[in-house]
Amino acid sequence: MVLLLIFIALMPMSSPTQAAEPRPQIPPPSSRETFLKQEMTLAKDDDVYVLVAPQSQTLFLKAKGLLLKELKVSSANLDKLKIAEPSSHRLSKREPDFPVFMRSVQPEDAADLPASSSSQRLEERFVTLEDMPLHYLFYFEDGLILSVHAEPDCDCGGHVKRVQALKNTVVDFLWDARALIRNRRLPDFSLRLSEEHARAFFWSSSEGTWLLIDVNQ
Amino acid sequence: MSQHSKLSRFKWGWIVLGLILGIRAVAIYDKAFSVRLETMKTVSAEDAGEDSAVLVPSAALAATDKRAAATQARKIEALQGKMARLAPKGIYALVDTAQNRLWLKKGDKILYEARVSTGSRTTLIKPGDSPRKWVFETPRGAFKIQSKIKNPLWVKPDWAFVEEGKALPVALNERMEAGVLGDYALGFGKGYFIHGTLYTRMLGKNVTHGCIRMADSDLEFVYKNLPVGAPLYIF
Repeated sequence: MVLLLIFIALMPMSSPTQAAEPRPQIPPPSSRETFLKQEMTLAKDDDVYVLVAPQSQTLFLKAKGLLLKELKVSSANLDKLKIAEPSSHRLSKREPDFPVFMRSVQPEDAADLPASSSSQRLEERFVTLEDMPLHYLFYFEDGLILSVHAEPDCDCGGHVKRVQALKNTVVDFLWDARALIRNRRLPDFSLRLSEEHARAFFWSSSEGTWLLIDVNQ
Repeated sequence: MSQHSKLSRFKWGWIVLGLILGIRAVAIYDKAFSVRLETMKTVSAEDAGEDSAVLVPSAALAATDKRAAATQARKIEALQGKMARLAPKGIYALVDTAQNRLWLKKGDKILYEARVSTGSRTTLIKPGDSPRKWVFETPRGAFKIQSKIKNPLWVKPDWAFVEEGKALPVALNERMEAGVLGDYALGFGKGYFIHGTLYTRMLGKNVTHGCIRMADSDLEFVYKNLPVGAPLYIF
């Protein structure tokens, strides 16, 4: 009897409520319109803008509505990003994970010149891919912080790949910890791209670049 | 006594069973009721044309939904059409400053691809009483080819002298230098050009002061095929 009671109490509900199961999440038609309207505003300008479509794991560089480059996003973490509608954000600052290496270069004949007229050249050593760091932080005017992780290319398999993945996890964790210390909060969202694409994203964006996030795409 | 307690236990068993079944019946009813409610959607004041939200049956709602969806679809189509009209009609050039590549395209078709050198993003600072700063960056965005020049002369800007540690010249002819920019130059505004180079080994790298450098043969093709007014997209 007791067993029968427990069975009845724990029995899963079966009722005509099958229809009440969560429906597939179809973006409301208005969000597509909002997105296009926002893109249209950006496309009227001459600047390059970036579209992020986390669900389709793609990042588009565009200008005047023209697709300039498509970057593949390996993974996107938007857990902390609390937006339900397409939203645009203006980039105010971008930072590589180590301070840009600045080299002071004195012209060869500068020694013969008075100190006041000698020039100083400061170099950012980002001439080749190897010079590029693996992590970047992008700060937006509305306070949003984006963390971009570059996935090191690895033509390896088996154990080496697993060790590489473990190493990446540790490095990412340390990067997040540094970002937390620096900004007193974790980034709002993060994207992982290949080394080449992360570099392209960093290189092609600059202060004032608009980022349009389409959470439904 | 024992028979009485047995009867009592039996009675309590039925009472508990009745309670559980009752609770489950209420739960089932509640769920079924909420499903019925779901079919009656709340229509916003905007859609209903009233100043407060109203409940309408699902059949009427379906018709409203259809009309709203059709309007939305038309609006979306119109926006997509507007966006498509922004696309260049004829030949245009794309420059990727991360990959240091230039493409000539017409629609989606690639007509030509070439290695280039673009801005180094280095900074030059001139200290002193009137300090100045230059950032050697290729501008990004949408531009148009504004001029085409054969056998261009380089009018050396201030930074070229500062970089060499030389005093700025007073006379304009002291700034002129021939043969540095190659056979052709295509201007795209604010003093930036696509031009030739003596440093072909550096093609494919970010080494310039902001201009786009190309090898002679590639430059000739671009010069001959890209008309004045053609769009140039740099990213």
